[in-house]
Amino acid sequence: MVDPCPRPLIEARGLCRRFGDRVALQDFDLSLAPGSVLGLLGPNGAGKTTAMRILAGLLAADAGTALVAGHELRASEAGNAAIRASCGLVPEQPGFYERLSAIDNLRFYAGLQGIDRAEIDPRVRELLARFGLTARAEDRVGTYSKGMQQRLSLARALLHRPSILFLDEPTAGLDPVATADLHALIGELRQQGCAMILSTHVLEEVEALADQVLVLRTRPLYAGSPQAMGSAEPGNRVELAWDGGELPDGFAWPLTVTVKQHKGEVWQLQVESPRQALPQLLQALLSAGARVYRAEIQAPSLRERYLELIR
Amino acid sequence: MRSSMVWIMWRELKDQAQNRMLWPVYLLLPLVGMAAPVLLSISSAGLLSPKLAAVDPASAAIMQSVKQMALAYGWELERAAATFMLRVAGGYFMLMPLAIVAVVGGYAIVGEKQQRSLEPVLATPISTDALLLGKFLAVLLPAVCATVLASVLGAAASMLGFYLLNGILIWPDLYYWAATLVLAPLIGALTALACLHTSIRMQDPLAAIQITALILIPALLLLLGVFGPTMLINLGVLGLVVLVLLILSLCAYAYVRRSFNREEILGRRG
Repeated sequence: MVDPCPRPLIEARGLCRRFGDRVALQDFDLSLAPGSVLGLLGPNGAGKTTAMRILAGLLAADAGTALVAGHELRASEAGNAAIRASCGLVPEQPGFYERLSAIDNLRFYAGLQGIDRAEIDPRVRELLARFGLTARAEDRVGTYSKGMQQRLSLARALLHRPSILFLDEPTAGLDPVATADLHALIGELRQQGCAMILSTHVLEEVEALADQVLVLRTRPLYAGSPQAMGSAEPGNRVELAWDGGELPDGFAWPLTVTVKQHKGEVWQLQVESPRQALPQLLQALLSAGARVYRAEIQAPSLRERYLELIR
Repeated sequence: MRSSMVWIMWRELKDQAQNRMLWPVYLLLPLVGMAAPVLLSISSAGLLSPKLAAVDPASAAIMQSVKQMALAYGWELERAAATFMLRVAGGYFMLMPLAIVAVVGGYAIVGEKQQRSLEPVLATPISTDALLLGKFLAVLLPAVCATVLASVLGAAASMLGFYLLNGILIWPDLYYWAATLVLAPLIGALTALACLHTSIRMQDPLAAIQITALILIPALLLLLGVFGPTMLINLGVLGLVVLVLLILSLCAYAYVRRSFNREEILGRRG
């Protein structure tokens, strides 16, 4: 039976980290339940990788507390070994040993994860098959394409069946088919209760996959659902469409309306107070003889909202 | 910790075996090493030449040492001269791990930094000691094995060669084996630790190897140049050198351990 209120796998409060004089992360809070996906957004250097490394037990935080997979985040390397054993990491750069074969690379990491020797080969072969790499298993990783290395990186991260998975720009360099496979895999892992943090610049990916989104620019700028982020505030954009799409004779847009785009029969307008303005505009157009078939106030998209926050 | 250390060694050794750039180092130096005792023992008769001793005071001193050796052990002069030359060959084996380790060890950490393979390793539960000891042993063991193998084969070949040429059976003495089996691994260990430290501090593999070659090797050679001749004639000095090398190696490991800051390594790239 699924626990309706599962304990969060990650519970972080006020995490901060500096590198010398530079503040890399500030006031980072997060609560992530099993089976949920967090989309981590932010420009380059916003602290996404630092946040993931802290939560994965690779870096210590200068301030703040965190409980990761039931283990308290500590300042010492030894104290965080249990956290590292519970997490899987797909780094931005796969970082494989290029002279070794894929199977040897995975055997090595399986060994470091403490997997029993007898179980290493079956597990490695299972993952190679799952990611479609069996035919090239004995080839040197140096001969692999970027997409293949990325798939191998995912296989490596899943070797020890982690309860939390950190994905740092996992679809960078993947073709559309491989990207779709990865999205399917994320869905599968979610079903199995794996919590995931997905750092990406592809906003559509976050919209499609994440339950929560966190926009970071050293400190969190927004935390909530991707849907709520997109429509958090009413927009000031109105879209109208009518047959033919030409302005009726004698009709002119009021001064409070700015035409943003006109393509075919569709007009996109920027309007102050659209709730009041839209009925008046519609009436004026209909009176002028336009056969309007669409009129809507548009909420800002996730992309627009993101750019607004970042700028 | 032991299991992770073994995995690190396994990976390092496998990687070294695949690295064709290292093959000449592992093949050439042991081959020269094998030839050294044979050539030195066969040419040892030259040490007994009175003409050379008459014009060169150093040769005269060596000839005197050889004569004292023969007298002390009741050996023929030829056997004493050959045994003396085998001690000199032992000096080569003493330095062989230094040369091999300097090439392989400089790359140990900085190479990983360059190919970005350190982050996934550090993301596993591995301890810093397991990582460093695994790398240290993977750098040291092949060099020591190559040295021991070359010295044993070189000794056997020189025994056979000398017997066939002179009809006298020679046997490398304690100094030869002490240099090969005790001093060589210790010097190799110290070099490996020095290389690991350089490799941790540097960002470029070539710079790490150059620093090792230009600073560390001459410093170690100087040390051996000062102690080397004394070690060949005095067991007490040999024991003292072994002790000093052991203490230096332990201190060097502690220093390397302190230098390896996971966060700094990740932060530099973060």
